[in-house]
Amino acid sequence: MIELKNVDKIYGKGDGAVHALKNVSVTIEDGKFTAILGKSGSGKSTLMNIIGALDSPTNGTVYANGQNLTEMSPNALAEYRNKTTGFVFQSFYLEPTFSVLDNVAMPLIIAGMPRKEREEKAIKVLTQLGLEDKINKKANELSGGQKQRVSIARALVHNPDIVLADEPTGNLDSQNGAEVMALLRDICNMGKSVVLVTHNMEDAKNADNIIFIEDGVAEMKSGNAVNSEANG
Amino acid sequence: MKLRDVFKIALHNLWYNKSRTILTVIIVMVVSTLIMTLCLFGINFMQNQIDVNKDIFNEQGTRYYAYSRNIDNQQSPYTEEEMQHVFSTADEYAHIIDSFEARLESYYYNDPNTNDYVSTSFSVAFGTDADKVYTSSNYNTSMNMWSTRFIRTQMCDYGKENLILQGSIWSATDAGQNKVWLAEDYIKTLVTQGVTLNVGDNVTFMASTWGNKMDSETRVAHDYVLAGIFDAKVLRGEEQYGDTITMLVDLDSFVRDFSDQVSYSEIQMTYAPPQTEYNYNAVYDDMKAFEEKLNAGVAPNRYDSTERDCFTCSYVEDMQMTVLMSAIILAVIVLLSVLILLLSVGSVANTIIISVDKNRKFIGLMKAMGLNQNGVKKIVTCESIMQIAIGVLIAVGALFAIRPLIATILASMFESMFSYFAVEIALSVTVPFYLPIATILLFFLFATLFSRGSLGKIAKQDVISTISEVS
Repeated sequence: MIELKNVDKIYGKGDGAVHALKNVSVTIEDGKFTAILGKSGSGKSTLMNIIGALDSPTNGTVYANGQNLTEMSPNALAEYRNKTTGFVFQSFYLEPTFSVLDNVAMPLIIAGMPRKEREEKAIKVLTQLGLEDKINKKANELSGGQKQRVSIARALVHNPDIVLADEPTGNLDSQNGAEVMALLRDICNMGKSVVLVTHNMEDAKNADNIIFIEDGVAEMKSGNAVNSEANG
Repeated sequence: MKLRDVFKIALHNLWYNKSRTILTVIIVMVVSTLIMTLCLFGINFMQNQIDVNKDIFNEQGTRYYAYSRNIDNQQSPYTEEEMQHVFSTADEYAHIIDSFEARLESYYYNDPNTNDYVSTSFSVAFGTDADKVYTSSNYNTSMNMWSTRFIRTQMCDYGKENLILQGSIWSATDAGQNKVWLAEDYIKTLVTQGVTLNVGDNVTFMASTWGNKMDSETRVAHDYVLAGIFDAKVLRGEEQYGDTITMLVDLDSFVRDFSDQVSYSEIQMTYAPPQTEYNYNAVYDDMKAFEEKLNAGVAPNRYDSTERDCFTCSYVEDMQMTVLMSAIILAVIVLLSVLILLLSVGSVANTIIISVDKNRKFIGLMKAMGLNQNGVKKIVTCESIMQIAIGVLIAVGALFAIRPLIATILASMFESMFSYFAVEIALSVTVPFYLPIATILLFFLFATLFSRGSLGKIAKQDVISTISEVS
């Protein structure tokens, strides 16, 4: 479980300061699909980055399974990310000159896993995602949908507790987008926590919890409650 | 992260950023060629100088010598204490001494009681039946102190070379034994004068001391035995004023027998190193130390208020100018190398920073997946070392092409430096294995120092900034 308590994030200083998050207190429950919904510039990506320990709050605390992430050193946070979090980015962020296999195995390379072991894990994940025939291809030889699936494979290869996806369908057509969303749902059904950042209510409607964010102010509601409200 | 993976990622980054990698490698190659050329010149200069010095040393050996001491235009004999210091120091440095020779002079002085000028002359009589007081003109009567060498027989154990040929050989057992050796040519001269000598015959030395009023004479005579005959041409020694060495007498015996009639005027020790297998630098240092210690216990010469040490080492004296030139040349080389390094390492560091900076997105992505600051530094360091190593190794190839030019310059320098010596100079130019390794390390050290701030910022930069800036 990840708890944010009274979290602020301020960029810059003085008159030019941007208050991206304002006194945010939310909880990401284990094994749940949580969507962060908001317009562009609302602070949703900032919130995701803090949840995923990619960024640190200006004020407030972040607890992950009892650990205070805000008091951890950069190296400790790096290790935490390597072990517990997987990221899926809108722009995929695959290394184009690496093979699919090497891209997927990257978290395991960073963890220092031996080559044979990490390749076995990467191949297994790629097979599960239907990409076993793309293993030796360069990442820049894939379609958008394939790239995003590779990105998801990379986010899963090290068996993280939580997968954070920042607008994963943003650069995909509707069909590929739907496939990616289905994959994320399957990941959650496997017992992992999934946090989805989106501006699209359609993507968020099946989430267990939805965090609405506007101008840095967040409010969390259960998915059922939101759907009930929507249905009147 | 495993080192093999660090290397693989670094290599990957360099390969897929070829233009930046090539630019950095070219800069490193050019600069390291310059620096290694200078260092190669310096290293080979030093090594060849040592080799030439050794050749000269092997050819000429050395002399440690002290002439008659002169203080304010007055001859000043070496005192007994000073001679004991010389003897004990020579024993301490026996490993760099082959022989010890001394010149003695007839003693003369002004008697402080009578103000009478006192002088002594020596005569020598040969043969078993010789009259010990001079009466006949058939005998060579005057002992030429200048052509007589007084030898410290203990020194024979120092070396390494037979001082006497065609007869018995000096040994420690001859010390104090009243023995004399005569030159073969001198023996032949005596034959023409009707004196035929054989080994074992008697030789008598007599000292006659007179006051200037010629009203008194004191005589002291001692018998010596002819122990052997030598060839003066092969005896290593000094020809003073055209005199050839005619007699060798045991120093301890003569000084013991005629202590009141003689004083030391010149002392000479010689040394020739073995042809191979000796530490040249250690021997050279010992020679300098020996000379210094000898002079420390002997009052210096004084000419017009200027003091000069009595003892001189011939080889050290000859080498002083070459040593000074070497020091100047090496100082210039080191200065130039440091200047080139300082002027150029900034550009090398800059290209490395640019190279790394262009990989910021990749670094940011890896940091998102858990790469810590140390991991970033490892990758960056590996990239830097690889670029520097490739540049330096290519420069080593250029060095081999430049070798003939260096050899030509060295040959010209050595010919002028050592023109004084009649030694054939054979030079070699080698590239030591440690030169490229040292250059790589030095380059890396300076490049790291220069780029530390910028690369450190990249390593520490938060993940979002890294990814955001290049998204």
